[in-house]
Amino acid sequence: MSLVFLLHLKNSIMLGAQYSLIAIGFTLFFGALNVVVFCQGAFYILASFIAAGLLSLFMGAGSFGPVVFGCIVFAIFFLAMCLTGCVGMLVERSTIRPFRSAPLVMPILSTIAVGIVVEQLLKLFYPQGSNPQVFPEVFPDAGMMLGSLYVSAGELVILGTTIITFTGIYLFLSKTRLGSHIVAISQDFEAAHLMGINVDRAIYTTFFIGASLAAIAGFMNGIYYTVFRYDMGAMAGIKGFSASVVGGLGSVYGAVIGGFLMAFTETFAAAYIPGGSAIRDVFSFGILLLFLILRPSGIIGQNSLEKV
Amino acid sequence: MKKNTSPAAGFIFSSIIYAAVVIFMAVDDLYISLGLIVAFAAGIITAVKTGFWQRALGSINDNTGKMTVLAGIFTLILPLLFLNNPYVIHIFTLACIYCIATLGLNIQVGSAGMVNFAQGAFFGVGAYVSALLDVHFGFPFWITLPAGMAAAGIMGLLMGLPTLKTREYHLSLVTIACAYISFLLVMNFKWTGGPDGIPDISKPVIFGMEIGQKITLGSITIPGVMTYCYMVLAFLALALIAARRLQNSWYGLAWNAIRDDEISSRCYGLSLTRSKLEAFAFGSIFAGAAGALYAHFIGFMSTENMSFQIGLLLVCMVILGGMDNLAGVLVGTLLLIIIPEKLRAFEDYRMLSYGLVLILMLIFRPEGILPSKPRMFNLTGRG
Amino acid sequence: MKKKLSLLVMAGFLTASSAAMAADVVKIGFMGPMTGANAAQGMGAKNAFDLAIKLANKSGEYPYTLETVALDDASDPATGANAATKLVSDKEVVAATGHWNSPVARATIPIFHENNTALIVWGAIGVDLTDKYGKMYPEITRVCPKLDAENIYLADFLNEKGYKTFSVIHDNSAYGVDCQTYMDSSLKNFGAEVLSTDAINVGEKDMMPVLTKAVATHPQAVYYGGVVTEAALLKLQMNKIGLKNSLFCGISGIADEKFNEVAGKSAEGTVIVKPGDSSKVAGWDAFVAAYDAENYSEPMGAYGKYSYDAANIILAALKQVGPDRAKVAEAIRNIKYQGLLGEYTFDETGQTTLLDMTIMVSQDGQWVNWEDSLYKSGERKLIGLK
Repeated sequence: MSLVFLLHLKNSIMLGAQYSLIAIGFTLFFGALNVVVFCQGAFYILASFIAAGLLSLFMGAGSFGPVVFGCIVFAIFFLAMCLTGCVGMLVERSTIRPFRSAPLVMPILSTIAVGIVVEQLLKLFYPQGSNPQVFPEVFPDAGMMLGSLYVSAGELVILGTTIITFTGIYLFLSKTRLGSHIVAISQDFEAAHLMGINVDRAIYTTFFIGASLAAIAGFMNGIYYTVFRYDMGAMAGIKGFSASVVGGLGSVYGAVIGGFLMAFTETFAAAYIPGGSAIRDVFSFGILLLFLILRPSGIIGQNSLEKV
Repeated sequence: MKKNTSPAAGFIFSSIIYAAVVIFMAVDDLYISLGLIVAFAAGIITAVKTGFWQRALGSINDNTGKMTVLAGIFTLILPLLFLNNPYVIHIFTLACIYCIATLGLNIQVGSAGMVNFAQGAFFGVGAYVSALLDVHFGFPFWITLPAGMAAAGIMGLLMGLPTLKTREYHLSLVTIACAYISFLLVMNFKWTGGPDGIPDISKPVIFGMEIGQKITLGSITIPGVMTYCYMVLAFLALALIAARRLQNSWYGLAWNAIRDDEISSRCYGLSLTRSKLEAFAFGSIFAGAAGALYAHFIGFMSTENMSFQIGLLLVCMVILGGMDNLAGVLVGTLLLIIIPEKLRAFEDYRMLSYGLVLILMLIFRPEGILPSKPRMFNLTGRG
Repeated sequence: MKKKLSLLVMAGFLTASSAAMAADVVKIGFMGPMTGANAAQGMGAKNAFDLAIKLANKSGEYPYTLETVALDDASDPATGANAATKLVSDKEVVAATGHWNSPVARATIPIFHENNTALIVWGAIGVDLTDKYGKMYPEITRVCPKLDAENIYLADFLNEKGYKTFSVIHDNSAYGVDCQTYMDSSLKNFGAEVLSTDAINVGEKDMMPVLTKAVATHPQAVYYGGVVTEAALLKLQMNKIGLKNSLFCGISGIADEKFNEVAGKSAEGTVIVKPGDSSKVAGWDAFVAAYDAENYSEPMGAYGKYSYDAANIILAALKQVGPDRAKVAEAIRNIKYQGLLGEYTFDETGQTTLLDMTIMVSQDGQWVNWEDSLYKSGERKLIGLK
């Protein structure tokens, strides 16, 4: 395999990791509440802003030894993730819960509106918010050769985080009590309620996790692409949602597969189809439309149409 | 049904609203505009508190015929009041064009309960088809307009296809995807003018007279925008009649049934597929007409006018005004076109306020400013 | 009732038209992006324009009060068309200047043309703006250089320095596509080779696929036709992906300190072309001093000088023929005016014949005039040269 092909492969894995994480969030929300939360993109970009802001404050404060530095950087990422998770719970309480028994259209619209509000607040009230922001370089400028391919420290961290997060989600859902509550709710909301499961707590947890996953994707975006702007979240959110639909809404594995499929399609279409880089989104959305026509339940997933 | 209120209250109410709108449109100063908005809001709150609002709305509802005539006269006079300020007529015309698009969107969002974010794209398709036929082939407006409408309708049908086997949340996603896809394709094709857009789109011609051309009668010059405004008003009237008839027909009933309960509508033998596709097709035809009218009005069309944001704005208009209520849709559209134009200085805060208004409306008044009336059936037949 | 109304309307109209005759106040319009992503450009130009009008009022050379009507076009053609209609609707407005975005100018030019009102474009650099399809608009003129001129100048400079192989990347806006077209042709004219051409979306963050394609061809230089955000993303990602040894270059879309700020250390050595380095022109210091004295909250930006000159051209025409739209439009077209940047005359398409360009290079985090840079003096070496 040529070096260029390997580079494209690396790019699509980096992008796919982000899409997958956002898509898992969509899938979890959908499973728990049967709603689509369109503001995942806002969580994603909000987390980038929080992390970048805290990191640059910290890095301006002075120099530290490598171990201390690493620990504090990790702590900042963790803090930014938790803050975003809390925003997720807040959004659930304020703009999703009021519509729990309303037509499905309502939460779709209200979460889109929340996305707009978050994005505009960042633009208007974050210092220099309408300008592109730089994500501070926290990882050493080093790396390793995998054959002929150079992989930098930041990229290794992204890969590691992705694997750890996927495993963590899997273990959480299958092994812990709270995780099994979430699974129970997604299978039958009312039955779960009757069985004495604290539904509200489980839903809060779902939103905390979903928003945190979007936050992790936001950090990866900052680390890998280095520059971000307030309006880059919306598209990432829509791509993540598409990925979860392609994979099969409601399935965590499907979300991961869908995310990587979208990323591969996009990157390779941009790379190998003449003139493709300007319309790369057409290809990824094309995949989505194809799936909805030919296999609306997605790669993994049950047929969602109710039979009369 | 017995008429139980006199038209007087409705007449006074509409006259006050009309006067307020005229004054608001005539004012140019930012602070006076802001003051007027505050005064207007205060007036409405007082009206609601004193019960005048309810009485007036009741009176309007009970005398629909008379009130429609009154509204028609008011609308026809409006451009004449601004004979020496074509700018106001320009904004008013623009608002009327968008009204046609939102009337179409209302079929999907209001009647059938399907949130469509691609109405901006259909608007664009209508505009581009009409503009390209005009600029490259020299077809007259009266051919390019129906062509634009047809193209938008066909696009609507095509977009409906992926949504047939799926449900609401997929549908919104599909419309978003389609909005982006059509935007990107138009932007990147050479023959659409690409990012440069299409300049020099000609004005329509009726009986040898070019609409939108200045007319000089002795010492009075009638600005070109005035004639175009009346043409748009004629189209808006047609669109209103069409929307009204659709709403009252079996189509409208079927859409409402789907919106309220898909499963039971299927039990009663409704074809979801057909009804949904019809909603998409009819709605996009309206958008196509609006797009064509827009392109020939401004004389220039570019991708900025068919972006996802336009689709979002149109949805906001319908929700603000009142889903499934034609008068409400018109009110919502006029508000969201005219107020931002007056408050241009706060342009940066526009999207933020749209988002906030949308959230607040959904939580506190999901039925919009003017809620739709429940369907009434008269078992004894007409009369 | 109706008759009365129309009488009232006519009366109102007559008073309005007679007011215009008296001409105690003469208004001059300004349009530009004052909100949205390009607000910085528009506000700077607006301030400079405003300054010119203020100075003219102070000079006492005009028998009427001059007034600025500044309207926002928000970089959106539809909004621009609204603003243009507003200006031509106001009988007291004699002429206008406008626009930083070419699509907006394309939407408003016919409106001014129909109303026989002069429009001087101060910042939109689209190539066939004033003569699309060969159609001439005698009311429209432009004081800033066109985009093709910038590209030719840059290609010439790079060719002279010895760059022979290029990768061209551009965004898919009107600006980016034009940049690609004219850079491509000028590079080929100078015998350079374009190894790859790729477009990206405005707002795209993932530049890796297009850069990876460029890596495969080992270009000496990567040219980008577009604006700051994507340029900074490209430059940063270039360094990550192994294009450290290729020069990064572009035209005035990148000529903003924001680029250096965002790209940080990676920006070093980036070469751009920018219309006009006016610091060497007579009267420049006085202009800057006057601008600073007004305490505007925004800096004048790269296009302030053009809107200042545009305002003064309108004022000069006013002085010649008085406040009459058609006459002012005609006078502007035939003017010879000594402005900040030199003597303005307009060719048959309404384009200024004045050309002045400067090469800038990013040095220690800011744009430095090539003539004054360490790169010129040989202390630092341009990237990508053997």
